[in-house]
Amino acid sequence: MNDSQLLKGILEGCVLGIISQGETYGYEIISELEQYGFRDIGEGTLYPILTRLDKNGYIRCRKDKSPLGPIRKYYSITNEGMNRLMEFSSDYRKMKQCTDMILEKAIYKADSDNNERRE
Amino acid sequence: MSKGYIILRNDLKGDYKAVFEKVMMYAECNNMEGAVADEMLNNLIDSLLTAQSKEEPYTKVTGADIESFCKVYFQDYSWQEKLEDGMRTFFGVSAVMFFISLVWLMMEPVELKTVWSVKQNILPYLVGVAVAVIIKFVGGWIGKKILFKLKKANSTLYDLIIIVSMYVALFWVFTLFGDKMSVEVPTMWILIITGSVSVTYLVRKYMTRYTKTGRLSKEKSPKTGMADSKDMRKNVYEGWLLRYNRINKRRSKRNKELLTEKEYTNILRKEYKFIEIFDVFAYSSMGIFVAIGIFKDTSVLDSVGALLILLVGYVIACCIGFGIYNMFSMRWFRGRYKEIMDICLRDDVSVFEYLKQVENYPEECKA
Repeated sequence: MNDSQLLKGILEGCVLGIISQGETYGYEIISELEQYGFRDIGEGTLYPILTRLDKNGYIRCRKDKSPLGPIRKYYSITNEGMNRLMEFSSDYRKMKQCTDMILEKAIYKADSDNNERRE
Repeated sequence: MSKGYIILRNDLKGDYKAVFEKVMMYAECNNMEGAVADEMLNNLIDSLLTAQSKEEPYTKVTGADIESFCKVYFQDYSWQEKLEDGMRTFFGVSAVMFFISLVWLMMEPVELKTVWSVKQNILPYLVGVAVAVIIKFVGGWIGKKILFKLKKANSTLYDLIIIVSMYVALFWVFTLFGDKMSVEVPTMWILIITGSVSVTYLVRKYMTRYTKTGRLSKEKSPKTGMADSKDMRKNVYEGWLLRYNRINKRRSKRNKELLTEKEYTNILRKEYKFIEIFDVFAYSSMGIFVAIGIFKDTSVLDSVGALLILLVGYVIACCIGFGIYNMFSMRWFRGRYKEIMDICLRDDVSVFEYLKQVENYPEECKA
C-alpha cells in the first residue's frame, strides 16, 4: 500500500483497532500492522498518529520502564476511543461499499472497452 | 521525561546506533531540546533497542531514508514547543544573572540608602547570550546541511564543537574588545528584571502543570536504567569483567599471583570512593575558582577568565570519569556503584556474584 493520503485516514482507525485488543506499545503496533500487510509503517508514521489519538483522548498512555532500559509508552483505549472505533468502522464499511461499487463498475467498463478494441 | 537515551544509546550497535545518532543530531541542529524532544528520542531508542534485540532491521522502525524519517517524525514539534525550549533557556540565564547579581550586591559594602548606586557590567551576559545564540544557529544550519551527507554522525562531537566554538568566540570577543566596552547598569534593576522573569516563568510553569495534571508536583516518571537503583546495565558489567580479565592476564604474564574476584571488588570500591571524594573536591574547587574570578576584580576579562577556569576544571573532572566509564553522564551511576561494592564487602561476596543475585539483572549477563 503506497498511497499516503489513503493510508493516513485508514491507519488511524487500524491503530485504534489494534490498541482496542489490549495494552500495547509502539514497536508491537508496527509489527502487528506489518503482519496484516501494512509494510513500511515505521515510527515516523506511527508516532504522530499515536500522539494525535492521545491528544484527542481516544487512547491513554502509561509510561513504564521497558525490559531493555528506556521508558516505554504503553497505550490502551478509552471509552471515547471505543466509540470512535465503532464510528470509524461503520464509516469505513459504508465508504468501502461505495468505493467497491464505483471501482467494480469502472473496472467492468474498462474491461469491456478493452475487449471491444481487441475484437 | 528523562534524558536516559543519552546513556542508553551506547547499548545500540552498528547501524542502529548510527541511525539514532543521526536522529539525535537532527533534533539538536533544529534546536529541539525540550521535554517533547526527549520523549520522542526515548520512544525511538526503545523501538530501536527492541528491533535490535529481536534481530530485525532498523528500517522497520525508521525506513531506509533517515532524512525523510526525521522530517515526518518531528513534524508535530511545533513552534510553541520551540518557544517553550527557548523560554526555559531564557529562564536559566535570568536565574543565573539574578543569583550572581544578588551575591554581587551582598558583597558591596553599601548602606540600604545607596543600594541603587551599585552598578554592574552586564556586557558579559549580553555578549555571552548573543554569541551562544549565533553559534547555535550557525552550527545548526551547517549541521543540517551536512548531516545526511555524512556516513556517520556523532552528536557528542557536534555538542563539543558547539561548546568549544562558544568559548573560543567569547574569549576572542573579550580579548579584543573587553577593555573597550562596558555597559554599566544598576544592580537593583538587574535583580528586578531577572527576578520578575524567573518568577513569571515559574508561576506559568506550575499553573500549566496544575491545569494539565491537577497537581503542582511533577508526575513521577517511571525509573529508567539510569535511575533505577536495582538495575544494572549490561555493558557496565562487561566493562568490569573485561578489566578484571585484563588485569589477571597482565599479572599472569609477569608471573604474579592472580587477583581473586573479591580482591578486585575491593579495588573497584576504593576507586569509586576516591571518585566520590574527588567529585566533591573538584566541584567545590571549581566553585571557589569561579567565585574568585568573578569577585576579585570586576573587569570583563576576569569574568571570562572565571568561565575558562570553570571549563578547564570541568574537563579535568570529566577526564577522571572518562578513563573509567567513557562517558560524562556516567557520573550519575557512581553513587550506586560504590553502594554495590559496599554491599559486596558487607556480604563478603564478589561484585560478579552479587550481580548474579540481583533479581532484574539481564539474563544474558547471568549466563
